[in-house]
Amino acid sequence: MSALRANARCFPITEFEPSRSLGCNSLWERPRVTVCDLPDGHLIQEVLRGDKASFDELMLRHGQIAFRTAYLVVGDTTEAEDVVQEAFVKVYLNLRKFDLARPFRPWLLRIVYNDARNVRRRLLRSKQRAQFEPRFKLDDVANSDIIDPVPRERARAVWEALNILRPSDKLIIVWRHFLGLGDREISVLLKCPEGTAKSRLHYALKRLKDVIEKRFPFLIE
Amino acid sequence: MEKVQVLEKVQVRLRELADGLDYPATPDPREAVWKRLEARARRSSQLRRWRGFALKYGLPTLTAAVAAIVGIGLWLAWPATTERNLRAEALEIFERYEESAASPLVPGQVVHRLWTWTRFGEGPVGPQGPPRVTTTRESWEVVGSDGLTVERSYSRTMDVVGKLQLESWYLGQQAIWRESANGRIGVTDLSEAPPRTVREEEQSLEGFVSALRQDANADIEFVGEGQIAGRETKVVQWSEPVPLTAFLHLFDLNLRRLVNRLDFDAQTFDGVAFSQSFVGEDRGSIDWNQGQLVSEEVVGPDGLPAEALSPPSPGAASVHATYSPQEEPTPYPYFTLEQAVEKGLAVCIPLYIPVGMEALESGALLKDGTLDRAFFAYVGPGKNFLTGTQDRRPADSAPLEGRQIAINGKTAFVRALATARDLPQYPDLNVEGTVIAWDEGDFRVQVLSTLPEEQVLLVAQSMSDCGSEPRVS
Repeated sequence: MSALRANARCFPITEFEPSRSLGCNSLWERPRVTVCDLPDGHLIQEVLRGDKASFDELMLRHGQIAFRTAYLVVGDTTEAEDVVQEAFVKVYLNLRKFDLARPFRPWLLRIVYNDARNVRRRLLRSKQRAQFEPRFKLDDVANSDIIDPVPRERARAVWEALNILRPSDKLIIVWRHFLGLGDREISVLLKCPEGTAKSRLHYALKRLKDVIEKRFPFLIE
Repeated sequence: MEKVQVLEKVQVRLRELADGLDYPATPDPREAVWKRLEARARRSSQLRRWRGFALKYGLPTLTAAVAAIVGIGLWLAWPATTERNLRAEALEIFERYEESAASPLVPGQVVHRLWTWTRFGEGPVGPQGPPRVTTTRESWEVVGSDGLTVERSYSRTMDVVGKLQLESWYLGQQAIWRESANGRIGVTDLSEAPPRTVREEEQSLEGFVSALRQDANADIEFVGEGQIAGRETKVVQWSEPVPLTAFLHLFDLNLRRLVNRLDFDAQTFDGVAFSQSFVGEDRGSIDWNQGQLVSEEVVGPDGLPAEALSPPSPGAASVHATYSPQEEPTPYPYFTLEQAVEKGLAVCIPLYIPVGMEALESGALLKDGTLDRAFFAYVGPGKNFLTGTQDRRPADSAPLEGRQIAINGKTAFVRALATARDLPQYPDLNVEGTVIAWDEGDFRVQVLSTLPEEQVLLVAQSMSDCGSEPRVS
């Protein structure tokens, strides 16, 4: 994210009235508000007015999580990049249909996930790619005596346990624990009430626990 | 271990996994996204342009093309359907005409008259020879309640130049016509005019003759008195300016209407005379000029106005009282060669016609119920013509002249065509040709043509079944 943020152009918003919205009394005391500080809904409104820079900001904000979502599904950097770009194109073209009362990120991630799933199906159908195997940090120095291999082996076992789960259980766990989505965002993604989302997450974890207890008991020792 | 603790442990392991995953560096999607959007915009712009073009030009063109195809289809289908229907009706009516022509004149009967003669016209000579002018006169009349007069009468005369032939049928108040050259078919409504009464100056014979002469532009001459069907009649000879026809009219004159029974003597184009009799109403007629109705005069029976009459539907039975005609029916004396063959007449028909020759006219004439004459005529390129006649041979006929040959086992004579002798109706015609003549029983057969002698000989040899004793079925 830091690399992305470094390229961001956080320019001042001229239409924005900080004195009123931020409660400043003096022009000299007015804080310098940039586009980076605006909520998604405001940026979308700016995009709808024709401001392309606001859409750039949206891409910067959500580009990483969108890419990781796609990468976790398709398991290929190039394909994931393509999925993200196509998803942003769809978002831009369908932005007028977006309900500003709802959070933007789940909507984007749903589009990314759907596209990524289609790409994964295509790849599996054409047998261009086998089951996705993630890379782990320090894989390149796996044989080094300095690095403790135990955490990496545990992580690989957890990933295998995740793959044993149903796709819907794996998906909700990935959303929560890998991408850091909140309950509300998950509920929007699943198109269900927040309580239902919580419940489904709980049962997914429980089924993961059962798998670990049976297949990978060393993980909980 | 407690379940909750296990679950927490699982979550700890998940966090370890999430932290340990090595994601690739996130690429900046902005530039690629804007490029894709621009490409889409270009595509959609092109699509919009094409769609606009299609809507502006393609759709109207397509609509016009579809409309044109449908229109052409309907235009083609309509005459065919109409023609089929009209032909069926017309055939039925023609059958009635033929029945009426062979039966006594009874009230309500439709009498159809039709005769045609062809002559060479003036004008540039085309590949088919000189232009031919076919004059057709046709009419139909409904016999009145007295069996002698006519209720309704229409007639038309038409000159047709060249190959154009026109068929027409009368259906009720409509004349349906069809041009054979281009298949065009049309319908012309016939409307009736108020009845015309006899003018005062026409009430005397001399005045009528004078008026008739003026109206008809014909040579009219009073020749005597007679009686037809128990009625006193005046006899007027009527000679029309058409050189090949002459009419003799016997007419009944009273103060209200002009009725005539006509006997006419006519000649075919090559000068053969024949007779036919009809009840006629020539004064009440429609003159037809190029398909346009130019005038009409209709006289009702017994002075009744025409509006009071029933519609002129050919073949419809009359509502008037029956009347027994005192006149014997006149036999229908004229047939085409094909009709003559069907009726069992032994006519000479050439089975071989040289290439390029086109039929001009043919027919068979009866006299006293037996074959009196049969003839055919063909014309072809280079002003060539081919005619054949089969005449009942008079007892004192002159012997044949020329070079002696054999035709189908019979002795025939070949000689050169002599215009003054063989074609007296064309005294200025300067052509060379061949005449082959032979006797077949009571008939003398003669083939005359400007074609080479070998061709004429082949035509003569192809004529068989001539000269048998005529038989009428």
